[in-house]
Amino acid sequence: MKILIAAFSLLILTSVEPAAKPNSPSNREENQNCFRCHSMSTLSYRDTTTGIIKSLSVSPEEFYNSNHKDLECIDCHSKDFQTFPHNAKLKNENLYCLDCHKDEPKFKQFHFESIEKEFKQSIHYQKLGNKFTCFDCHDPHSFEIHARISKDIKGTILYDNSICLNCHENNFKIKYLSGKILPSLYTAHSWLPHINLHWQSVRCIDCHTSPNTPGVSHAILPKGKAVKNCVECHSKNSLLLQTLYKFESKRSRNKEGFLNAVILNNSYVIGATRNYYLNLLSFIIFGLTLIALSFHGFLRIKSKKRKLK
Amino acid sequence: MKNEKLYLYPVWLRIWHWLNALLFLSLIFTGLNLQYSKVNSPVIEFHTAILIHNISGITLTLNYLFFFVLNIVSGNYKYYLPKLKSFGKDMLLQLKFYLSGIFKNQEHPFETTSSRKFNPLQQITYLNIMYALFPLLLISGWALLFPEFIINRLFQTSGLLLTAVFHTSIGFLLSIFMIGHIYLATTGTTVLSNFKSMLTGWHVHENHLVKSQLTEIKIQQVQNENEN
Repeated sequence: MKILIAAFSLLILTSVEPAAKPNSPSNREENQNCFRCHSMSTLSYRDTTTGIIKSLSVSPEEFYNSNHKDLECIDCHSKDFQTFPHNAKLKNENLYCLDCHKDEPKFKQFHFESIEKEFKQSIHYQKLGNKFTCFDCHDPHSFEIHARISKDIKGTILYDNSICLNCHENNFKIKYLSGKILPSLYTAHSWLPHINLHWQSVRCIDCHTSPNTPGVSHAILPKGKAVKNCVECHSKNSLLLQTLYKFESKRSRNKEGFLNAVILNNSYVIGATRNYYLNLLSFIIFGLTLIALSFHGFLRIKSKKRKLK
Repeated sequence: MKNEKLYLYPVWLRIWHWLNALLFLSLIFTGLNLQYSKVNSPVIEFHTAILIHNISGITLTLNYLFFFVLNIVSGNYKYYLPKLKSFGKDMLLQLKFYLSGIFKNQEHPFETTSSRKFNPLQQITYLNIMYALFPLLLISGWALLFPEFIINRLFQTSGLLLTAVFHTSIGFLLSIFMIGHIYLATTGTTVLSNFKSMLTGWHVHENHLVKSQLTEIKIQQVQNENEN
């Protein structure tokens, strides 16, 4: 029997060995105690009040690739979780991101205080109150920042949009949170030409948040206030430079000296994407044509008058 | 004795030509609106500009196909083909006329006849415009109508961007051609005679009109002097 238990434990241990790069051994060793059970993908329970199945599974691979990879589970969760079976009271543990992220110089650039304010203004909080938390969008066990560091804008778009679609393409979740079923995203966006292409090229939040924020905007607007005027993005001072291309354009400006480079290399936006040099060249050609033709016309008139004399 | 009047522009050609001109003006206007779109002072709304641009572009394609077929069927295509043997020489001759002869009131080096509607410069320009630039403009325009089918990355740049820059550049070149075309149309017997020909279909022979017109002008000058 002992051999069987040892073999079983070994099996679990090897199966949860993450593929990610090694971190500080203490964090790995400590977390290993939790992952022994919580790495099982089917680990879950049925909430007795709502009847919803809640997953308790955490992928070590995702965790050790996330922004929280250097943390121990008990840095956020109660130390009492170290005893097993866990105390039933621990089920009501209430975690809040800003407990750690507030007033920490390291996180200043992320403007968490501003994010907290924006979140309170967002339609999600306005409609759902405390029922809606940071964790509904950001899974702390897999979360990674994208827009600031990624050079692959399409990848950022895909990652960020999947956060929204996680609920907004899932009627069950929407019904659970809001009590109603929303129209399909295609119906709601039927006015938008080339829907799929737009969704691959901009993030939901680029139109559905107010752009005037220091970090990544969290003030999700009610649908009536979302950007619907094409020219907001499709013009030289494109809104996207304050949103999607915000961090990229700052980097690019330092490196290449002009703003357009970032859009030119990554995507095309009618009206906004104007190559400076081609634009200048077209004005020169147009101007020279007019000058040449006017001069030609002038000489023709002069010669005709001369002949008549 | 040469004919004084030539019927050079049949009805189908005139319809194609003026519809083409109209659509081109619409495409230039809406195209500029899209390229230089602004939030606060749009000349026309962005989506209206797109709608008009798309409808004009599709109509332009149909009009081009109409031209393409009838140009072959009617035999009009022959006017576009330059004489290969003397082509370089002929072209220089015509260029020399536009750059100097025209100011000395010399006659056009290549008289318009029923077998030669275009001078050598027109031939080479129209041939390139109608059978190279125009199809490229239409194809790239249609690609932009269905952007999801455009190759994503080409030479490490967005395929959509390259297609759009290509489309805009060809459109720009054709707009420049249009300006030159309208200007050169004024170098006929009188400033307006070529425009009239394209409306009536009849080309009026140059010498006849020059003489009669000069006489008219001289008579008027004499009358003016007498009055003074």
